[in-house]
Amino acid sequence: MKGEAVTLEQIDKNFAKTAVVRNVSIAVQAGEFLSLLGPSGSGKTTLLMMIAGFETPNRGRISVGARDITFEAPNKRDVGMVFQKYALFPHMTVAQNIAFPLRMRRFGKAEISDRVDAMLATVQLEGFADRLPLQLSGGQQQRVALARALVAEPPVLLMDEPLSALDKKLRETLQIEIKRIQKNLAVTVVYVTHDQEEALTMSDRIAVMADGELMQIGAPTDLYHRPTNAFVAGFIGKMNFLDGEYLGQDGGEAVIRLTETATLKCPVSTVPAAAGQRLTIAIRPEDVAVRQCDGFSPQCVRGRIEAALFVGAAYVILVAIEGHSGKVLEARFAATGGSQPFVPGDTVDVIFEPHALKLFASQQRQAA
Amino acid sequence: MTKPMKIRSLTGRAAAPMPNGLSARQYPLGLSLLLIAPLFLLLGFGFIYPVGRLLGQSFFAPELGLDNYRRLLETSLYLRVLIRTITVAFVVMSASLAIGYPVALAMARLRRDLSSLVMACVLLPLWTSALVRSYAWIVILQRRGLVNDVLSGLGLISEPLKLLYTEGAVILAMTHVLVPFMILPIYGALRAIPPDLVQAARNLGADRVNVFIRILLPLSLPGVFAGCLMTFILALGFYVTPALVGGPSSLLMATLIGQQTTETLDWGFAGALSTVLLLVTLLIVILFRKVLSHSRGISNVA
Amino acid sequence: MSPDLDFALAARQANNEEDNLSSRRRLSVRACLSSAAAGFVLFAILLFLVLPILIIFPMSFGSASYLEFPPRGLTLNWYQHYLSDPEWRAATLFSVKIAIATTFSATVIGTLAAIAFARGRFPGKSLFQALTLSPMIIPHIVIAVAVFIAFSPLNLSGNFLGFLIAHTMLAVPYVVLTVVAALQRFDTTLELAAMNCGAGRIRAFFSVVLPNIRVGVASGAVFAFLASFDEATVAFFLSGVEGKTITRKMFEDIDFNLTPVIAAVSVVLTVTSLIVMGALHLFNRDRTSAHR
Repeated sequence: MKGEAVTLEQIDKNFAKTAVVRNVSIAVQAGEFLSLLGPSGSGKTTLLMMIAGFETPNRGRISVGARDITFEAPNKRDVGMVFQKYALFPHMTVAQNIAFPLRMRRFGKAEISDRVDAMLATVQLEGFADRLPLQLSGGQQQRVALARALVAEPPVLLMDEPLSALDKKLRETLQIEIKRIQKNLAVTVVYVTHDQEEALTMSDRIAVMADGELMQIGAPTDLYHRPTNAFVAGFIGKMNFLDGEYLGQDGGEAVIRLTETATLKCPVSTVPAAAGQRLTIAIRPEDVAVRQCDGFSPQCVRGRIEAALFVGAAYVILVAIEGHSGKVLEARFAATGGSQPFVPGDTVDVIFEPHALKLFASQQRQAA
Repeated sequence: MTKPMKIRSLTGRAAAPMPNGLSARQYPLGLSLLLIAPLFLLLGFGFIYPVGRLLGQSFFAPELGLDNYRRLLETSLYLRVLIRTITVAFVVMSASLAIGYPVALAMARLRRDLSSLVMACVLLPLWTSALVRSYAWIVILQRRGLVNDVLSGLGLISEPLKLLYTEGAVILAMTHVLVPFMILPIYGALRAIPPDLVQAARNLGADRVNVFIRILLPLSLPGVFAGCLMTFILALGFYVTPALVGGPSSLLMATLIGQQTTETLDWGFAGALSTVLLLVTLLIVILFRKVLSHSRGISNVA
Repeated sequence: MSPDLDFALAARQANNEEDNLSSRRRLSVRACLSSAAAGFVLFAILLFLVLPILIIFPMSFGSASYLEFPPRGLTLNWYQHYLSDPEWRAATLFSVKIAIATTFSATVIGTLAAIAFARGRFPGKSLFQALTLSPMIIPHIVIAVAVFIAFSPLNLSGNFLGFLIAHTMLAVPYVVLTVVAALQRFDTTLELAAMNCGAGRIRAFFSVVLPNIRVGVASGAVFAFLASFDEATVAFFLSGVEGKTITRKMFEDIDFNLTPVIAAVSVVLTVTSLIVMGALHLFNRDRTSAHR
């Protein structure tokens, strides 16, 4: 089995009168693990359903390898799928479930039993062949679903939030296992999830969706460090957003007014607006530096500590920015021994390093 | 005879948002029509055509006009039968409610083993043919039947009472036949009440009587309505029991329609009587549905 | 919540419990009496429900040639009479044939229609659903008379085909209702999964959908059987001299010839119903326990 590329070209999909997928094009490479990440209602599951053939797009083209499958019947697509709640056939044993795709493809008895055994070994469920799905735990059912989806060696595997029903520990174990199996079989995976950590851990690339549109596609590190819009910036990882105004250039640097009294400087190339326009300043909590108040510098704003929390590996402090209509900023730094250096009520300086700032045009949608 | 089961309004279920384009969860139009075609043919030939023809005949036989209806409305006998039918149906419904509610309550609230016993006592008559049950009542009520035997044995009566072929006999036997259709919907409604609601009420200081009046009774009303509707409309059109247990003095619409069909062979008039009975039935259904409009569908038939 | 409040609440609760206990003791005699009364009423109602049916059993074994209760001697004469009378035998056979054929046709037609109702989309669907259920609502006397008048000129009265059509029409709503209910409980994702595994619509239906709605289909089939076998109103009108169902024969004999043979036949009908329902119960229990 070798993975094949999946190409989505300009896909539109309407339910009744509502557009749920709008002009989405994604090229998934052969053997790639691609996640469709987005909040519920973003169209990611609908996209998956269209690849599986359970929905037909209103416009656009879907192909696997060189095959155009846009209007192909679901049972002729040769695309494996793991459903959200596994969708194991409750009246069939584990072995019968796994054998089902092979029976549909009219494999011989001997080959079916060989392949089922091999698959059971792959998902580490030897000895469970004669159990009914309801006699298995959630994690075991998950593995059976995976085995059933892969047994016919499809070039593409679709997974629809397969781990969402499991608890955190089990989820992490299975994430690693799914990755391992995917790498071994070199199958192309399109993985739907709303869990950004899951997407970051497992994917080669992530396609972030919102409101039926593709917001950004790229490697996990790209999305984290170089979000191209405010939505992705807010959806992947934690992000502080502040309003500001672009004043203009000064000595080769862009000057942005944050409050009445404070301005920030940053490289001109990062500014997506014209002088005089408002924009959104984004900064990650771990990039926010906070120190005891000792005067005024251009990259620094005065704030007041609202809360100081210890969350295990890190300290989190919430700072209200002075003169910025009660805007509270989150800062996070490693808890390397000692005690929390800040107390609520302290007045502090908040420092914005120029390279840590991300600037977006003001009217862009932000993730909640 | 109707057998135990649930009628949920098929249309009552909120439709999931369905796509403009194709969705595999939904069967395509052609396949749907193919699946429905046999039923369509069956109902068309076995139901719509005969019933339509019967109703139509009331206007055409023996000749075009409303003569059949005029006759129905001008003959006091027929009007009396119609009113008696509605009265009897109402009494049967009320009696079923009076004896059905306690049974439903017992089934819903008793210990599991006891409630299964009560359930068995309800299902046994339900699964027995109405014909058999009517026959049983003949045996019990006839001149030399069980009741007269016992009464004369006790010396309470000197000669057998005339119990059979009376309106009372019809009401008694019909109540016996129809009461399961009252019990099961009420039981269904009572069972659907979460037990912690009762515990909560008790915890808030309600005694048993208050729990019943303020919690169980109001929440079981949809079941009560469904049961009443079902017993009422079944009683309106019931043929077997009144035909066997009733006499000329307790003639009901169903028996009258039967007579007109097989004895007088006046099919036009039978059609008119049927139309009237059907209209009354539909009126009752609409009335009940109005009352019950907040609840879902026709709800339960047994 | 403050500790003071906690304590106050606990104290009040303890007080309440004491009150409850004492009032329970005070009320115990009255409570006993009222629950005894309630028990008695319930018992009386249950007797009313069951006794008329149970009475038939001893009657069918009674030796007197008229109805007497309690019977003085026991005999199997009436069963023998029932079994040896060609008219009764013919009527029974006719009824069984009709009931089995009706079960089959109503189950198939009803299941197909239920799928269309539950999963399909077509114009006039809700109207058609109402129409499908209307044989349950419309007075059976109207249906019976209508069918009799319509079928007589077509030579469909008093014969197998006429009964099959009429009884299937009466039985189909039960099948539609039970199967639609089963389909609504059925997770359609399983069907998608089957198609994803390479099954076409038809194979997906037989290998995945049908096994999972079996209980609904079986219930529908049993209801259909009883709806036909126990049916008396349409049978009364549609029967002919030749084609006569067991219920029509019984109807006639109750009116003209009230012998204990009818008690024996009643027992046969009742026991048949109980066996069929019992079998369904066992089947359903097996299905559900197999999933545990």
